[in-house]
Amino acid sequence: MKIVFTILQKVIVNHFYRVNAGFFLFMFFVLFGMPVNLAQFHLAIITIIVQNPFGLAGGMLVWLLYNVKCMDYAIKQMRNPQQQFLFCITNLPASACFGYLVYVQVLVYMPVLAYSLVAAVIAVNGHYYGSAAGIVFFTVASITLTAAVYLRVLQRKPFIQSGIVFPKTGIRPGKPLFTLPLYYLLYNRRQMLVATKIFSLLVLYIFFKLYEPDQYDIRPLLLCFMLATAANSSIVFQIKVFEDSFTGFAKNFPFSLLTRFGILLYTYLFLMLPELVFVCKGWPLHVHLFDYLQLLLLGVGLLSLFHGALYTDDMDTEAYFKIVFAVLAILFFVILYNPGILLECVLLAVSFGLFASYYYDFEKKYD
Amino acid sequence: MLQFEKLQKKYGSFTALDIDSFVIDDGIVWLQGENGSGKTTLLKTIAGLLPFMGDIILNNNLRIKKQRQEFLHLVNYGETEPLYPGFLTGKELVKLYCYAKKGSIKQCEELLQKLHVFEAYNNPVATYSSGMVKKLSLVLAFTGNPKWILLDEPLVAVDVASVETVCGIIKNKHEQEGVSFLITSHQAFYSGQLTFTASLLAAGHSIKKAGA
Repeated sequence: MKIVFTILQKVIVNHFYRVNAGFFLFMFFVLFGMPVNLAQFHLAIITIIVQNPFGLAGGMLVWLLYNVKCMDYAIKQMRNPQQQFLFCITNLPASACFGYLVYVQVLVYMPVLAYSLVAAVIAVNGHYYGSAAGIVFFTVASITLTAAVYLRVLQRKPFIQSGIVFPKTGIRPGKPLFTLPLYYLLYNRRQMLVATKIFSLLVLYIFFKLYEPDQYDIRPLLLCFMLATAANSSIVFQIKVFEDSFTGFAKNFPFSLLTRFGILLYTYLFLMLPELVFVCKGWPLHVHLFDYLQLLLLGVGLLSLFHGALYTDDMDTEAYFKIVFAVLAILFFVILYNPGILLECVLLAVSFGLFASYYYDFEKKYD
Repeated sequence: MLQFEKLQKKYGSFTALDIDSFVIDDGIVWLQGENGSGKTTLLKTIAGLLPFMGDIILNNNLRIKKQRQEFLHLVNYGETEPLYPGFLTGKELVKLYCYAKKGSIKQCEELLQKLHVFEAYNNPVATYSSGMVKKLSLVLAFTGNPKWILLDEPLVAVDVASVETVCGIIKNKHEQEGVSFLITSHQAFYSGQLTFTASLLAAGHSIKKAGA
């Protein structure tokens, strides 16, 4: 019995936290790294959740998004050909199997579980019994229903029995090389892509909503756009993983280094399109036409720099996010000195330098 | 002609290949050797997929380190276990390779028909069997106007009827277009199926002429 817990923990739970180390580091920074009274800050958030129905709905939406992330990961892991041996667990009685999967879900859901339970306790203390019941019901449903989904995946049973056939449009857009990572994100990392875009657009939206400058200055928007771009750094890591796993054959294509770098820039230009379109909302109060070019180059340059950094060594997410944070810390101070478009030119030059120096020398290490 | 100059390939501290100087003449060359003898590493190195020390020279004038783009125009590679993004269709891969290698889509389609995988041409690769993916990868390796085609275990997962077809394509490419082949295979070829002009043996981190 214990061996099943151990195997599931090693294969699914531990791997989940390892793969998402960057995400948790980032969330930790956002939730606990701000220069405010942390207890008061979180108490204020929880108070909004328990006292206001819209706050409760908002909180549940965020928790649901996290749960979707957990589900997306766990299902992919269970369907991974390397983990096919997990199918043997289904030889156990379904109730026991379900119990094991509840255990898995509790562990991957733990950060939200802890936060929501604290919220429920505060709700009970404040006599908001409806909110407390709602939170408990939502939490139990999230865990049990998700475990039931896992069980179905493990048993290789289809979710839809009737075999519904969705109508096809017949439209098949072309897939040039630079679009392959984007298609990969759409097909295989959709939830991550959507969550990242919601977050980065939310950051920009809040900025435009709350910040009204007395006089025009591009630097605050540059800093905010840098944060929105940095939110895409997890996606950059996934694109590199995809490149190593599935498009290694392209190294045999007779393309020059400049062409290959151009393909990379195109990829990140298209990835940043939602943010680049949304930022037009700030015209003319927050951004002028010439400075828009700065934003564009900052987005593309920063992501290609992160990508270039991944060629320097076969690094894990932890090492990668250290680099990301270091780059952001340096850029924060550089932007304050208002270097203008020179900064973006330097970013692109350094990215190309890294790319040119390490692209052909990079080699994935297999342990 | 492929020429190796002080070629050294290491995985960490492990030396996989250490070839001081060696020449492979044009032709259909069979590279044999035990598992782990460095055959795949050698092919991947020539195909530009792996970093290495030293140099590889094609036809006495093209160095992979200095003229990589021109070199890779003339060297194609087919992997043992090819892996492509599952969401791409066979057609999209053919178009991509033909664009990159300046090949003919029509020729690829004809080869796919010969190998009986054309029916799945418009389907995502994720729906292909391993044999179908292998056949597709072979067709992609034949794309363009290469001088050398490197085939790593080309017959693995390929059905008996298609083995004859693959051998026929290799023979035709060599005789009519002057393409040379470097082929690794643990499977023996029947007489008449394919005639090798030379046989090499990978052993002791290096390669030598078989029987030498």
